[in-house]
Amino acid sequence: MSTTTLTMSEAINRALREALDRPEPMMIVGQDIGPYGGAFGVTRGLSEAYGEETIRDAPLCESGTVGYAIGLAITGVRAVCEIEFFDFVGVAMDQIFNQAAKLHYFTGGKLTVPLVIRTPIVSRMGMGPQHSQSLESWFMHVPGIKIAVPSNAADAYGLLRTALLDNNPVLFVENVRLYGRRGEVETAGPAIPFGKARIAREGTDATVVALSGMVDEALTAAERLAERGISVEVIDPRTLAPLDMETIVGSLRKTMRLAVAHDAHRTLGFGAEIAARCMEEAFDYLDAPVERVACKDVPIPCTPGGIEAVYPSADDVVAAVERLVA
Amino acid sequence: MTIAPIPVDEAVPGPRPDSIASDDLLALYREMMRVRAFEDEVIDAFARGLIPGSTHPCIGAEGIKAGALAALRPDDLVFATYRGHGEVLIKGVDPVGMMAELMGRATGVCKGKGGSMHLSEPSVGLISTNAIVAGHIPMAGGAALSCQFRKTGQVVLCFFGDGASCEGEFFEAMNMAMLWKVPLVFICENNGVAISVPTSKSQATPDIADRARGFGMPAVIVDGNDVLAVRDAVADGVTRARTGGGPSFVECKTVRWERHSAFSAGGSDPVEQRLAWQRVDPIPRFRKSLRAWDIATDAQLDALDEEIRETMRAVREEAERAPLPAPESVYDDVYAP
Amino acid sequence: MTAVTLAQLSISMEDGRVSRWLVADGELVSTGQPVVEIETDKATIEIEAPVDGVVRIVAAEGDIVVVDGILAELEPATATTATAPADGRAVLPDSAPLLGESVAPQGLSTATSPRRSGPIASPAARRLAREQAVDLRGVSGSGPGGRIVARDIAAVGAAPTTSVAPDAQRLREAVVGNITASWQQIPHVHIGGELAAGGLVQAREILASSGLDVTVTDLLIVAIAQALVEVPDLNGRRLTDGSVERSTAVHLALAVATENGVVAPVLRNADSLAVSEVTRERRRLVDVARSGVVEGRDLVGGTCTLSNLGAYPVDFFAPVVSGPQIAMIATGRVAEKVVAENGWLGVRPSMWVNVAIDHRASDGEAGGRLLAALERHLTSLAEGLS
Repeated sequence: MSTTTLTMSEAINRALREALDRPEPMMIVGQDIGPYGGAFGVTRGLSEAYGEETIRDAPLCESGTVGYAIGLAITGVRAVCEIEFFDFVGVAMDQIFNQAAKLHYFTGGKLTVPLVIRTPIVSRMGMGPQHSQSLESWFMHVPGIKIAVPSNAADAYGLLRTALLDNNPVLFVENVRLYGRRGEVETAGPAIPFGKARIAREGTDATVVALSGMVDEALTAAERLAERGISVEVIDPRTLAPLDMETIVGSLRKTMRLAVAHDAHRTLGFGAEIAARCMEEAFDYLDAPVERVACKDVPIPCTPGGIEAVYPSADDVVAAVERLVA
Repeated sequence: MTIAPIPVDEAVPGPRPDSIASDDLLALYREMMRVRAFEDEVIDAFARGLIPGSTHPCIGAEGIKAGALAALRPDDLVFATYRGHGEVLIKGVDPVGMMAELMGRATGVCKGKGGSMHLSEPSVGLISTNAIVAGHIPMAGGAALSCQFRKTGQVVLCFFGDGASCEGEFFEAMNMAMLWKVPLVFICENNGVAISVPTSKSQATPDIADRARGFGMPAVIVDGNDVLAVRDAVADGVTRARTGGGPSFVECKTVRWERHSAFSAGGSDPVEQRLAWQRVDPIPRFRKSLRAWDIATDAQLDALDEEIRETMRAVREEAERAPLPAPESVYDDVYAP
Repeated sequence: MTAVTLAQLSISMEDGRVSRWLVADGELVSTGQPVVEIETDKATIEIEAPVDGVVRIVAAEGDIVVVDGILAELEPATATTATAPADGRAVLPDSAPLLGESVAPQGLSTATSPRRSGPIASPAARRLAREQAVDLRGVSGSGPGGRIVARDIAAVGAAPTTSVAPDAQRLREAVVGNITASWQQIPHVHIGGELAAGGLVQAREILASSGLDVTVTDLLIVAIAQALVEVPDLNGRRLTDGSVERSTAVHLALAVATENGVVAPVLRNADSLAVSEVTRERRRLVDVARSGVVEGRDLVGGTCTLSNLGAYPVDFFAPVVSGPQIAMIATGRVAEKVVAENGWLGVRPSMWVNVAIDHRASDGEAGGRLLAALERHLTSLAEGLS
C-alpha cells in the first residue's frame, strides 16, 4: 500500500493522468482546460503533457461541448468534459439528461457512453445566484446517469478512477472549497466502488448523512455534540447514483434518528429523497422526523451576510441533532 | 438563389452521368423504392394500431436519403432524426429488426425500447436516430472528431431538418466542426415546414446554407428530390472531409409528406397542399431518367417495384409475429455493465 | 346515545376522580356546556358535553374513572327530531327554538370529539412497544410535545407504577405462548460438540482461591458473550418481515427455573462486563426471577439465550429457540472424559454444548463457528487470572 498527501485538486489531476496514460483513446474537453489549466487549476499541466488535441479547449458553449463529448464517447473515445461552474449545467441540460443518460437504454444497449462530466460546487464564495448552486438532485431524478460527490482528496481520487473505468455517463461533482484541502491518498489500492458510502464517524445517538462540503461541517458538529455526550454517526454517501441506502438505513436502525445535510436547496434536494427512502425502508425505526439541513429556498445572494444566512453550517447540524434527540 | 424541387411532369432528364455504372443508377432507384415501400407498410401498420406512440415517415424525401448515402463508404457513420427510417434502411439495418422495433417488439434493433424515433445499429455505421430536434448534431460533430482523433479515415453524415436549424446546438456544432475541421457533412432536409409553421414564418433568411457560410463552411443548395444532385453534392463534401478539408453543408430543398407525424393533431391543410409532395415525387422523376437513359423499361421497373413491395409486406408480417419484450426487461440496459 | 368520556388531558394521565357534577341527572344540556368537574393528578378540569342531549350520569361523584371511561350518557331528546340531509346541513324542526333562545336539544347527528386514537408515539417507539408487549397508554412521552419516543419504552420497566409483580399466571401464559409459537414456527437445526473445559475449571479454581464465588454459569456467560461477538450471525433477532437484525452488543437471556416454570431474564451487555459484574447481575436476575417479581425491562431485548443444566447429570439436550432470537445455547455438566490426543490417552474436563438455531435466519455452519470460538474462549478463561 502506498499513500501520498495530495490536495483534492491534485488527486483529481492524478486520476486524470493515470487514465490518459492508458492505451485506450481518451480526450478531455472543456472551456479553459488547456494551457490555462482550468478555471480552478485542476487540469494544470495536462495540456503540456498530453498535447492540445487530447486536452482540448472548447468554445464557450456547454451544450455543444457536452454533445461533442458524447459523440466521442459513443464512438470509441473515452471523454471527460469540464463544466466550469455547476450552475452552467443548465445550458447543457438536454445533452446530459436526454442524450447521455438515455442513449444506452433507447438503443437497447448498443451504444455506451463512457463520459465523465466534471463540475464544481462553488458555494459560499460570494459568486451570487448564478454561480453558487448545488444541483446534484436534478440528476438523481434521471435514470441512466451516475453521480459522484467526493468530499475529500482520497475519495475524489478513488471515485474518479472508478468513473474513468465506467461505461456510463458520470456526473462528477467537485467542490471549489475543498480543492485545496490536503489528505492522505492511497494510490496503489483498488479504486473506490460506486454505491458504497463511507462512515466518516461512528456514533449511536443520531445519524447525519452529509454531502460534499457539509461532511466537514457535520464532523465539526459531531465533535461538539460528543462533548455533551451525544454520539453522532456521520455518513458520506459518496455517490448518489447508485446510492448506498443499506449503510444509511443500517445506521438509522441503530440510532433511530437521522438528519441530512447539503448545500443544495432544501425543497426536493437530496435530503428529500433520503427522508422519503428512510420512511419507506425504515419507518419503524424512526424515533423522530428526519431533519433536513440545507440551503434556504431563496436564490443565493452575493453579500457576505446573505451567504451566512442561506447556507447551512455546523451550528445548523448541531441544532438539527438537538431536535432529533430532544 | 432560389431552388425548389421540379415537378415530375416538368422534369427533363439531363444527359446520362458517365461516371456512374448502370447498376449503381438502378441501385439508387431500388433504395428509394425500398424506403417508399417500407414507409407504406409503416403507415398501414400504424393505422392498424401496431405501432405505439407515433411515427414520422420520410415519404417524399427518398431522393435525399438515397442520394446522400450513395456517397458513403460502408464504414462511414450516420446520425439521423426521428424522420430517418430511410437512412437507417439504406445504411444496411435489417428491415425486419427495424419494423419490429417500430412495433416495440423484443426482436427490434433496440429491443423495443426505442421505437420509431430511436433506431440504432452501430455495427453498420448507423449510430442512431434521435427524437430531440438538433440534439444529435453536436454528437455527430463529436463522432467526427473521434474519427479524426483516432485517424480512422471515416466520415460522418448528419441529417437534420429546417426546424433544427433554429436551435442553438446547430450553431454550436457548426462552429466547433469548422474550428476543428472535423470530417462531417451536414445534410439539411429543408421541407419547408416545422410541424405547422412554414419556414417563411420561422427562418430569417430563405436559405439555411447561408448560416454555414457564416462559419466559413463550404455550403451548397440542391433540389432534394433530384437524387443525383444530392449524391453529387454530398460526394463532394465526403471527399473534402476524407481528405482533411473539414466539414461541408448540403441544403436539400424538398416538400414534406402530408403530415408531420402519423399522430399529428391540428387542422388539416387543403388537399392540394397536403399532396404537394406527390407533384415533385423523386421516384417517378428518377424513373423518367432511367427510361430516357435506356437503363430500365417501365415493365422492368414495375416488376422491381412489385418485388420490393412483396418483400416489405413480408417484413411487416414477420415483425408482427415477433414477441413483445418481457415486462421485466424495462429494467435492462439502464446502465451499461 | 353519545357517551361523555374522560379524555386524556396529559400524556401521563391514566385516570381522574369525579369531583362534582355541574348538571343534574336527566337535565338537558347543549354542546360545549360544562357538565362535570374532574380532578386529575395535575389539575381540576371541566368536561363539556360533546353533543346536545339529556344527561344520564354513570360515574358518581368520588368515583375514579380511567381514561376513555364513561362519565355519562347523553340521550337525544325524544320530543324533537331532526334530520341531517346528505349535504350535511342540519334542518331544524319547526318546533325548534331559535338559536340562543334556549338550551333545547337540536338532536343533530352524533359526533364524538375528534380525538386521535391512542397516544402520540414515534414509529420506533411503536415498534419497540409492539415487540416488548408494552401498552403505550401506560407510557409517558418525553419527546417533543409529549411524543413517546424509543427511550420511553426502554424506561417503562423502571417506572415506579409498574414495579408491582406481574400476575404469575399471566407471565406463565406468555412464556408458554412463546414456546409454543417458537416450536411450531421455527425450523430448528441443532449442532453440538463436546468442548474442552479445562480452562473453565481452572479459572473457577483460581477465582475461588481469591475468595470469589463465581459459578460455572458466570464463566460460561463470559465466554459465550465473547464467542457471540465473533459470530454475530447468531446474536440478534429475526424480525417478522424475515429480515435479521444482528446486535453488536450481547444481551444474554438466562433460562431460570422457577415455581412458575422457566423464565429468562436478560443479562445486558454481557460482552462488556467483567466476571465480577456478571456474577452480581446474574445473581440479581436469578433472584428476581425466582421471587416472581421480575420486571418487564429484565425480560426484554435478549439477543441469545443460555440454558445451563450442568447442575444435573445432563450431557446433552436439544432446546427450543426462543423467538425472535436466532439461537439458544444449551450446556451440560462439566465431567472428566477420557480423550485420545497425539496418540496418548488422557483425562480432561469436558462439556457438551449444543446450539439450537432458527434455520430461517442462520445455519449449522454458524453454529460450528460459534462452538469453535466458544472452545477457544473457554480455554483462555484462566489466562490473566493466575
